[in-house]
Amino acid sequence: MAMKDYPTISDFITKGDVVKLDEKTERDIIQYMEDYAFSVESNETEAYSQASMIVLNC
Amino acid sequence: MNMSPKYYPIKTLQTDVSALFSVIRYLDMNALTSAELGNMVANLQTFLCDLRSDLHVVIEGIYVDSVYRDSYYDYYSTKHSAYSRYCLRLSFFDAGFKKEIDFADEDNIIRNYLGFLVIRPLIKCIGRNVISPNAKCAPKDEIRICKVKVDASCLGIKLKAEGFPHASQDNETMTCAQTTIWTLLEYYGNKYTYYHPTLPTEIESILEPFSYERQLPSKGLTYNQISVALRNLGFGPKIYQTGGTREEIRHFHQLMACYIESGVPLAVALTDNKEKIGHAIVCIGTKKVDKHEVVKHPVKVGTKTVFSWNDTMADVGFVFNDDNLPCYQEATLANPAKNYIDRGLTRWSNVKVSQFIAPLYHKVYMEADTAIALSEQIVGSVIPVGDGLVMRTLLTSSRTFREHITKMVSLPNDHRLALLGIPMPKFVWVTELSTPDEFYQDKVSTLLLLDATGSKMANLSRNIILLLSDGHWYSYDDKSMAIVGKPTTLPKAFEAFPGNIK
Repeated sequence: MAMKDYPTISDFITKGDVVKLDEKTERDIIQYMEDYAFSVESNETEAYSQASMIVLNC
Repeated sequence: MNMSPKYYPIKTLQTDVSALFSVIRYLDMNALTSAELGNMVANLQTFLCDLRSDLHVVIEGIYVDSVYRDSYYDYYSTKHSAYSRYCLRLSFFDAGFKKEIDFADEDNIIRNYLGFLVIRPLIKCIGRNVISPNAKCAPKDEIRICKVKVDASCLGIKLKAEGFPHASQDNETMTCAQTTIWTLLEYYGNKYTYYHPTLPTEIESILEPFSYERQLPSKGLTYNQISVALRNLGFGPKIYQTGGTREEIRHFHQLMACYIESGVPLAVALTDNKEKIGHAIVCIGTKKVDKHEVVKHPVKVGTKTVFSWNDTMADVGFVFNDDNLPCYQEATLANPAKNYIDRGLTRWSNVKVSQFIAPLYHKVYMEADTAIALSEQIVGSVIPVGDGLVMRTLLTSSRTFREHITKMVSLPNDHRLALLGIPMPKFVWVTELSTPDEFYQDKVSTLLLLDATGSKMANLSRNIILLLSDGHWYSYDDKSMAIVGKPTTLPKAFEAFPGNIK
């Protein structure tokens, strides 16, 4: 029995217009996510301090 | 007291208090006063009246329940007053059940089985239970919940009860906080081999180094203690807190909806500092949503406007298992204590959902807020489409998602094989975009898979596992050193992921 390669996505790529993300936009996204990470971390500090104070017993 | 198994039509137990008294008497609780017995009967009746009135019940006595026995040997047996070691087990059957038992017709029991309820010999008598949503009074098809199959038996026949585990607190060994931990582990432990169901003494021993006072009788736990217990039981929990602004509250509710759509039940804190109310419950599902509601929830993503499915779900309402109430209670986030207020407890009027814990798989490093933020950035900046489309984000295992790929009948076999050839981590964040019309027909035109072991600090191409949008395949191109979308022969629309709750 001969071995068989199953298809990959590149087998279905055709010629035509390509959509390209410019480098500046990618840098903006990375910067946004870094800023976002910083803002989330400050909220987390508040969440942990609140979580240590409230007793759940009702 | 020994007892033979009994049959009751549930209607008798719902309407005849003397029948309930005779059931409770099988628990052999001599020390209780008539007032205490009356409270037990009221608790049991409240639970049973929340079920359909055409069901059938088989009651078995001298039942050894592992959870109650654990509390019994750790606590109740050490008291001066006598407590029984035994429980009762009620098994519920659908309307077609024949009460004349014929073991040649096991199907009568198996096919009609709708779950069980353990009755403990305590005033807070509602013990461990797993009940099918089909057994509830409210129309069963109005909720979607996380479900697990739990081993059970009735009259010697092995059965599977399917639903979400529930129990009431006993107020001494288990308050709402311990019950929440127990419930989550009962779900995960019966569903995935990685976890195990837990018992009250295990929770107590985990929290021993994190408790400044004795743990029994229990006075409740802080939210951090719940998170510590979940960590020790194998999870990577994340704590979320609501904010003060309208946008922060929307974001908090959106995250809850995102996790629930992912099939991750949540430990939720209901609080009102003024009234000194702190209560833990488990969010297990959502009310069914009319898909057309989605167009009422526009969100700005860069310069585009998308309709958020997660916001739509958050707005319609959730299903909770609350240890003070029967299983599967519905409430909205705007009025989470509705079921208390409806019962006359007006003190609960200003209770809010202040926090929730998502008990994540310990290697899901990217949490919901990062996945949504990154998805929004990609929709806003990387792909040309997005404006006017419906957006939905959820977490799933790659195993489940790959199974979904095999069922995408819009794609020819070779396309499915090609998608299945893409390496994936154990968990992926799925973001789907579709036009409202495609959305109503369970179709999508953009599929984005993010690496759940990824990081908010990593570059885009490291986090993207797969991005297919409007027939274009997006990947990092070494030559142009950028993410590039190339046209393909793949269809522009295909089947949406059905989600992880049923």
